[in-house]
Amino acid sequence: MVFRMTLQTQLVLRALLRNPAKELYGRELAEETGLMPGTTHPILLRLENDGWVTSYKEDIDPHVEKRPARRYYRLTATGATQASAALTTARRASRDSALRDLAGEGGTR
Amino acid sequence: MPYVKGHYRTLPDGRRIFVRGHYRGGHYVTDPGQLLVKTTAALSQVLEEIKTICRRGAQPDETIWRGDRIEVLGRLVSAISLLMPPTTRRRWLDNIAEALHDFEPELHQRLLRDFLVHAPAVVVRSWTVDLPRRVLGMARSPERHDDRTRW
Repeated sequence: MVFRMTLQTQLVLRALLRNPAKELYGRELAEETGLMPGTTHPILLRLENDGWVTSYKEDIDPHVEKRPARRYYRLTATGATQASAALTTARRASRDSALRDLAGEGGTR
Repeated sequence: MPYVKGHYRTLPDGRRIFVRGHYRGGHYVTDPGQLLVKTTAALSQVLEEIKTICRRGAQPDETIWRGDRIEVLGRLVSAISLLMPPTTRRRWLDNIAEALHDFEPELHQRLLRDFLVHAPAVVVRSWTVDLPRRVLGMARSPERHDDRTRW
């Protein structure tokens, strides 16, 4: 599956890849990525639908815990491999583009 | 030469229908006519669900946590959530509730604005996934819903 690798998607994937075994919930993801949960939500839905990410809602009684149940996200095994490869490609593409820009600037002077 | 084959499918309301299809080259291909009929049926079912939700108005699952008390969601959030399929809608509202609880009150307005700005992407994406599932009979019934399964 080929994703449109927006910067936000890259940030989410990087956060999840930092420790692929660790499950992150909304607030933690927001802190890791610097993005608001409203931004990460559609990205996570897309990644989850394509099998890169899996999630579950914790099983608590909100009235006892005095807070709503959190949804935890983590990368799947295939998701971790594909995310790692996709990030490498994205990094290479942005480096190539930066080099082209520099070469272009050099050529005009 | 494809041969006609069919299967029984249980509709969300419990009825069982026979769906005709073709088996071709190891793949099960649904009859285009049947596909059209099923698409129409799925769309009418979606409209029916939206009408039911609109009639029902604000329910407890449309509430959010703020501190230790429950408040009814703002009209805009509630209205936009009506555009989503029921499963996505519940999940989107759960996410908002979680965020409003986990973030400081001074960030709440920004949080809600962020959820609303990105809501169109959620609506489009969820229907893109949900509609083919409904049409091709892959929709999950509420009884079989499992949070650990893929959305």
